[in-house]
Amino acid sequence: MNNENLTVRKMSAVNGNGDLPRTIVTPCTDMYETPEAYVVSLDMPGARKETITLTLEKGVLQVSAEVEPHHGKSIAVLYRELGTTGYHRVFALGEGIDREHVDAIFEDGVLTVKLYKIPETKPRTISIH
Amino acid sequence: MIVRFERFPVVQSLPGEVVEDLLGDFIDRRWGSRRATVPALDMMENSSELIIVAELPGVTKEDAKVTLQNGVLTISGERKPRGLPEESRWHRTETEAGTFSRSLELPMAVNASAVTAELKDGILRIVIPKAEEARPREIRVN
Repeated sequence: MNNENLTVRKMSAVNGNGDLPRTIVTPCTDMYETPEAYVVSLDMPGARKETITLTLEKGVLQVSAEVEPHHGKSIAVLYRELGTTGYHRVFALGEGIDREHVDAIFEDGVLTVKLYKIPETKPRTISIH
Repeated sequence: MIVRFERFPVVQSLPGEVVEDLLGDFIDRRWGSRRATVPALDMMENSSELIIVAELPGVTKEDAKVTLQNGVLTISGERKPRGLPEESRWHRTETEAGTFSRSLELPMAVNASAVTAELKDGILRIVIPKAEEARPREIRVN
């Protein structure tokens, strides 16, 4: 991931559904830690891949995205439960994450981010002699 | 007379589900509920089609199923659980894996043989052509 992707996009730019109010949703998230990385998975159905932005600064990860509107102007809505126009969530991960070594993949509406630890923070097994 | 569409007639509606609807997403987020395993959806129409859009994050095409029988549309499938690699530990688990099913009675006659469904980026889009008799018809005034 290059630094170009690590910029904050202003959420005021999100207004997907025309006249409807903006609804920024906090995506449901799973997170686990392996010996070498943190893996964060966020449910972001309908997010436009090119609008997904990640920022990592001082151990804080911010994720945001815009959602493709699916209501055309000539379509009448009979029943509505959806209305998400964007996603935004902030995680405090602490120090020890390698800023230059972050992988992200968006698949089936789920964004999975793998943040590698700086080697010194990996647990070390110390043998007793 | 125009009546505001308050609630789509769900095929099976138990009192417990009504309570969940009232409390909405708050329950889903705080404690999880059966509703969290039911995909949220919108239903729309234009002059010739009925369009249903549902959120199915984490569900692959192979694990999603759409059926239409006797005017009842059912969206079902399974979200496979996420495995935890060895020597790893969870920090948080908010998503819910497992099977889901949601049925809707369609509000008009449709052409069941020409239904299309597409699942992309966690969004299922079902397009159902209306039956000829359900389409608006212009009547000439003499």
